[in-house]
Amino acid sequence: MTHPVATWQDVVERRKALARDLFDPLTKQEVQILDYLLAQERAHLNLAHPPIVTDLIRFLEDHVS
Amino acid sequence: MILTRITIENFRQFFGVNDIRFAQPGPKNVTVILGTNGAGKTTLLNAITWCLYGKISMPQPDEILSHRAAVQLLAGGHTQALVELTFEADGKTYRARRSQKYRKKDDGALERTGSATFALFAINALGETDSNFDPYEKIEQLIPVGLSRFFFFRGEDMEALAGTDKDSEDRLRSAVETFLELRVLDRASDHLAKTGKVLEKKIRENASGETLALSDEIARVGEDRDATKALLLNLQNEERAARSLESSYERQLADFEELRPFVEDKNAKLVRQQELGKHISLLEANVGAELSRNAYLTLTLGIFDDVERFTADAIRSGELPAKIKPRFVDDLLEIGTCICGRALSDDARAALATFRSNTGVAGLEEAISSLRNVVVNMRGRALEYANLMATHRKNLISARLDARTLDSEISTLTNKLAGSPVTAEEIRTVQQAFRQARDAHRDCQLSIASTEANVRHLEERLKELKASREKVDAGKELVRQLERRRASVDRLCDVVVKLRAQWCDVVRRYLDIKLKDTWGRITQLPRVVEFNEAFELTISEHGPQGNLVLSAPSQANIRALALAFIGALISLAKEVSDYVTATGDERMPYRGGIYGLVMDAPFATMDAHFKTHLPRGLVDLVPQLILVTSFDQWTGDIASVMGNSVDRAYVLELHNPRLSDSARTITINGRSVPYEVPALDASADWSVITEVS
Repeated sequence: MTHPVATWQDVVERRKALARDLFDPLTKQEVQILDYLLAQERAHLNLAHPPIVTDLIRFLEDHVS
Repeated sequence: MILTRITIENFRQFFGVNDIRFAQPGPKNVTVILGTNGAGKTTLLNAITWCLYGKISMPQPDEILSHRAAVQLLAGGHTQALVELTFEADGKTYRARRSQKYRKKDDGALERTGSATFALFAINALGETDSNFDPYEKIEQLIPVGLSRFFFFRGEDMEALAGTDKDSEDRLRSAVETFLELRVLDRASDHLAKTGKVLEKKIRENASGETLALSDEIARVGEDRDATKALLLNLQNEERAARSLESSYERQLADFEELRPFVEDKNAKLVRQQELGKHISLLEANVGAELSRNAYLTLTLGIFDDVERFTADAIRSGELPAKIKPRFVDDLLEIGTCICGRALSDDARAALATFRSNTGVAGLEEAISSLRNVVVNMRGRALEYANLMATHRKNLISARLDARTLDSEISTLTNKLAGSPVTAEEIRTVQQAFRQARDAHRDCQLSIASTEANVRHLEERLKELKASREKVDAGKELVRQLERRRASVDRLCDVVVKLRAQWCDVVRRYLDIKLKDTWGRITQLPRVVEFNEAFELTISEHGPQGNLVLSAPSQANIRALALAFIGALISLAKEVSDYVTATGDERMPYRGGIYGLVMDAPFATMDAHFKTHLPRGLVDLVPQLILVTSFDQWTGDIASVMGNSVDRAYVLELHNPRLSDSARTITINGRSVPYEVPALDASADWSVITEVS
């Protein structure tokens, strides 16, 4: 599905649509994991070696049993 | 980010404490800062980037402390280089301050005391400060370093931005990536891949029998897949380099088509130059021949004048004409008889002898008469010679002037054609290089296609192997859990990679729309500009058949294109900011903003059209414009177009020890302002900033 892209709002909508299409095959937990991961990445954007792999595995252990 | 004020203390060229307050958004949104060469125009730009990022664009100097401040510091004394920048961003006022302290040791050497310090405060309406945040992270949010080169830049950097080389493409790609979540997504896929490997390792540790064999196979195929992906990355880089090279040769050939009339003109002029050279040689030979033949005539004119004067004197003194003919006297004396028949007496003979001796000048009179005839003739010839020589001289001067004009025209054409292939041999070389680059590019594309197929095949194989292992491991709870986690990680990684590619393209296309709009507004030239899929900026024109033909951009076009792109970014940043404010969407890593432009000499090398339209377009497009420029560029069209929008103007006053005469001044608004003054007591120059508005 193609959205017209004439304003930044359209761009954001298009992004959401892309994400929806891509997230569709994911389970609820997987979407949760992705949200968690992206939030972690944003929060640690300026850190050279964030402890994110360990955090992510811990999060996976909680969500994907 | 709208700059409010900058304080520069003992930073590089600037001595003492210098202050600039910037014009604010509105009808008068321009600040102009004028300075001569070496007065610190680029240093001013560097003061901003040093304050915000600790970086300067010039080669890293030994010290950033002003040389004069260092010289004036007494042994044991302390001083500092400081830049403080106040700006509005994100609806708040911020003050960034970076400083480096120094001490002069007893032996006179200068030393840094500690490293440079950086602080960032948010200031509320009551003047209260808040620094309860990571200053580096906040700056990265407000104006990411990747974007700073688009908002604080030197004119000459603009060509690097919109050029055709790989670096330009990387800069543009980096700008787009900054506007996206790409860094976040890249890190996410990287971490997911690492997590997948950790899980895979755990599965293998818990495996046995058939599961172990499958795990070994998975590890082997996984390694193959990683190696093939690394190869793919290399090939993609090679492909970009090859494409850039191909495009560079293609542009050179396109340049030639555009330059062909100039090449032909130059060739015709070279032929004419040769002919003119021959003509001048011929004229010079004629002059030489005439000189050797008749130049003596110019000397004889003096002699003739002497003869005439001498004759006139003789006539005046009564020596001429002769009183009696000498032959007549000789006859009388010989015959001894007068014409009356009477014999001559002795007295008469004596008297005649006296007459005779007095009449010697009669021969001279005859000689003079004959000489006068010669003189008249020679004078005629001398005049004829003078006229002829005047004509020769006139022709020679005219031919030499023609030759000089021709030399100058050829020199202009040579400069215009410099660096472009112009001879048939050079064009053949470029054509050959273009074909080779195109072949290399195609080879890369083919290799990429087959490597991508390999990666896909290995991915499929991995999926199959993992699915097989899942079936085998169905009975083991721990392995089954690990398999599920690993499968989730694989799917997420796939999503993130796809999201990155698609999201990137959406924003690239949006920037392309903005670029087209901005180009029309600031240049008013009927060209088609594009920010294409390869992250290149291009200009096309409608060809004779209505088709689009890529233009070989001139330096001025490239600069205008870079400015249009920057305008598009500024416009986009504002839209992002408006969106974040209106929706409160906290998920955007980059929150946009309102940006001003700080430009150092952006309009150099531009023609009259751009000098008229670009400044006006920019003033209307960007909320704040800070123009750092030399006096000669701040003249004519630019000053008249921008003058009404200028709210604040400053002059960088250079104190120059090499200037021995009086201060140099410029008249601004009827006021004489010094911009370069002698500094005889100093060993190196320095500048201070003077407000003139």
